[in-house]
Amino acid sequence: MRYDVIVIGAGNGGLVSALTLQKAGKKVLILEKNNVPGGFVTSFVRGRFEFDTALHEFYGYGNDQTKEEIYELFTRLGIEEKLEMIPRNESLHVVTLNTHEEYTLPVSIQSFILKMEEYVSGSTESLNAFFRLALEAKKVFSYLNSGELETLKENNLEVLSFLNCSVEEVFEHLKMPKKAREILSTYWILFGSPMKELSFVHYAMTILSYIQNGSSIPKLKSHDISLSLEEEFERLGGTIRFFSEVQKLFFQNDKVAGVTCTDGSVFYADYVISNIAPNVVYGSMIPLDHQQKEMNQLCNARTLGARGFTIYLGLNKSMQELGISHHHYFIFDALDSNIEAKKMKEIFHNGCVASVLENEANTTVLCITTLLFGEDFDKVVTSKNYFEWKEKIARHFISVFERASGCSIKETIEEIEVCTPVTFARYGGSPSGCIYGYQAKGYDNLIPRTLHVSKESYISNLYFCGGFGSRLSGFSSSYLNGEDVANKLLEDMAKKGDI
Amino acid sequence: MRKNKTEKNVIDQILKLSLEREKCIKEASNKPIRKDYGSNRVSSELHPHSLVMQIKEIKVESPTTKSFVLATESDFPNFLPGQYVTIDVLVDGLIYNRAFTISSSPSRILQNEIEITVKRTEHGLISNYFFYQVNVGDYFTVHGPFGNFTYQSLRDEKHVLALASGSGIIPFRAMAHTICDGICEIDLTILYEVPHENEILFHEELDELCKKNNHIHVVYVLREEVKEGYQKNNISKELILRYQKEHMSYFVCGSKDFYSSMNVILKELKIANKYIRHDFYNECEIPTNEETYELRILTGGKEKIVFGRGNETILQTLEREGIAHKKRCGVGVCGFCRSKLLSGSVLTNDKYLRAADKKYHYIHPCASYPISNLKIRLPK
Repeated sequence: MRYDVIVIGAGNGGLVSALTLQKAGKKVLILEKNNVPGGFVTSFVRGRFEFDTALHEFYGYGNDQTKEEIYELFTRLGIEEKLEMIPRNESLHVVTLNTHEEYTLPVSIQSFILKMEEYVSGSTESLNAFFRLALEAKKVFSYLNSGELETLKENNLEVLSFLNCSVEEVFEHLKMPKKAREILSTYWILFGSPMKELSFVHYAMTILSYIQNGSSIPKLKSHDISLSLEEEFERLGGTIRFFSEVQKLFFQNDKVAGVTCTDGSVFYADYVISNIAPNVVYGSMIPLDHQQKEMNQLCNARTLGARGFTIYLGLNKSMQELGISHHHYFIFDALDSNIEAKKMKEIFHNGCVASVLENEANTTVLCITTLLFGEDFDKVVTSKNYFEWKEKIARHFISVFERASGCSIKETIEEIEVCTPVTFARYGGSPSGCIYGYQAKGYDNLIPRTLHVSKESYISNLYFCGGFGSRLSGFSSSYLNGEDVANKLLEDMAKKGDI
Repeated sequence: MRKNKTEKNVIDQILKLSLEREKCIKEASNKPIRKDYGSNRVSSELHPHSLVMQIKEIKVESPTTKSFVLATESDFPNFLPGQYVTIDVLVDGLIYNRAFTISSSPSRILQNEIEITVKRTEHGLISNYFFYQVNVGDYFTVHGPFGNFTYQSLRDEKHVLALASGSGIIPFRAMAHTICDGICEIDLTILYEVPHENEILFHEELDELCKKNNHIHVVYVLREEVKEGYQKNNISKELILRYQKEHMSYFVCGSKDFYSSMNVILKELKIANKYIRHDFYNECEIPTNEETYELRILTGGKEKIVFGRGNETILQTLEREGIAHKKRCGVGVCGFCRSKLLSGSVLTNDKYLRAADKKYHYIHPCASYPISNLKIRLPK
């Protein structure tokens, strides 16, 4: 079978890429190795509970009034009306175990700043400045992303002086009080990079959307989004094949001509988009005579982002009975992200995020996700000790949550499932079980990645999207990146006269 | 003035970022990209695509039950007692995939072997095939292990009361061995119900395990026979009460009727869901409807038309017709065969479907019976 475009992997990025191209009238095939769309974003059922595997809170959606980026994207893709989103009323709730701090901040910039002033007096001015820059950062990124460098230069924006800066450097510049910086840093764990490493533009524009309009969660789990995307893709004539794991790309005249799957099936296409890691594609899927040393260098120059470890718990009491009063918890020893990130190289640290959802019949769904930086887990885990490690780490983080929330949950666990880097390595094929793409730091932050997409395209008709892509990892960024990549491909098609 | 300055500044900054990135990539090693991460290695060890296993030994356990020792030349993955494998069985030119709970302890994988135990049922195509046709030396393709009918120390009580009938003893035999091998530190009391004494599986072995390890205790219940040393009738509420401890988890495995009666008793005893685990089984009532329906099957971009019956699951029809399909648990729980119902209706149990799967008309065809002509799209 011949297609205009083959998309490898039906993750958030792959689904949006495929649907965007199909909408533009292309003939698209998605090959997915598992039996559901969504990649790491999926759900599973145990007893009377359904667990969202990856989603804690979904930012960038807004609602039909505020209409944020993802809302607009889903409207363009024709799926917005099919979804029911439940808004969350807090933008931030953080608890520290060593320093015994707890902060809860509301949605909307104004209320956020007011509350912060209550916690840290004298923080208002620097926070105002922060959000002003954040609004500009969003604009700047959209120019950079669409290649409108000229427009960017003409804009007299203050944030342009900070394109190269880490969040910490801008905090410093704004003379933000220490405690306010620390509280505002809380979201770092969602990026998997501390304030010293993470680019200001990236952090500011992302948390802006978190705070400005709050986050939400899809009522029928994020699987509903994946299925809505798939449904629309197929309605428009796209083809999706599950249980189809791509093994190799094959070439004709230095261009990818198609893919072969582990089951022996062969598909031809003019263009290929990979929703799976460049490390896997360059490392295992390119025939010897088409490998280039730059592919290895690019992958070797980068650091793999955080490995995931998630504990899914179905509790047989209601949130109220349990005494759990928040839907989302950021939990650390203390608030300094640079120190906390270092600690998370070790397996038994205390940094994690927890999301809590009411479930039917007075039960509760609790998901605790932690990150492991570096290879400590890789080094100790074997197939013989795997079950013990799984249990030991899960036990530790359940206790961490109990300490942070002050609620006792151990006695109420009706269902438990634990996903480790081994699970993620198996399910998504990601190197080292990494769920955060490449780590955001220095030259591998948002702006340099965005600027280098074309330069780093070593095979002219092969594209990458999703969590390892130029917008970095994250729920919303993967969707948005999926559209970016599809649009880039359409542009290239037009240039080459393939349209 | 200010404008020009900004302009230059922006270009400088962008250039700087760009150059830095280029430099770092250029200076990076061009060695092959690393793949040897522990997590990836362990994931492929624990989840091999499939394994070829050979029958090494066949043991008669009762007049209707045999155990088969399957050996592999490579390593068999580590697993937890209570998990199952699926085996592809070729009968009369058709491939049937069936799930079998592993009856041996994980410690046996040191010898690269596992055991499955098959009870012959009167009309069971595959159980009869195993019973009469399979010989030592035969090869099979084995998938797995899978399943979560397993002890979880974070959820379950340290004392497990196993309620088993007939071949429902299989996972508990594996569990008892695990306790004896020192892999799992729990107390296991098994109430084991069979019709007659000669139908008790692993009788001597279980007695031996009880003798060796005082954490294991077995009570035999004979349904249709009165004999000294055995309980009579069924596993009753009274019998459970006799062995009940304050903190206890109840693991149930047996026939469909057995699950129903145990569920009633455990409900009467006000045991919370959290403390009750049961092995997977087909929770659908098998319909009596023998009507024939046309099934249009979309697979691999083609449409195939076959005829199914109202009392036959869609997957059984596919199996009979030799249409390639995916199957794992076979009773509608695991979701491996998840397919989209494009038109028509089925009788099914939607308890194990994701909410959005229900919204978009997905079904688990291994536990769905047609009640009209229908069109269905397989995952591949």
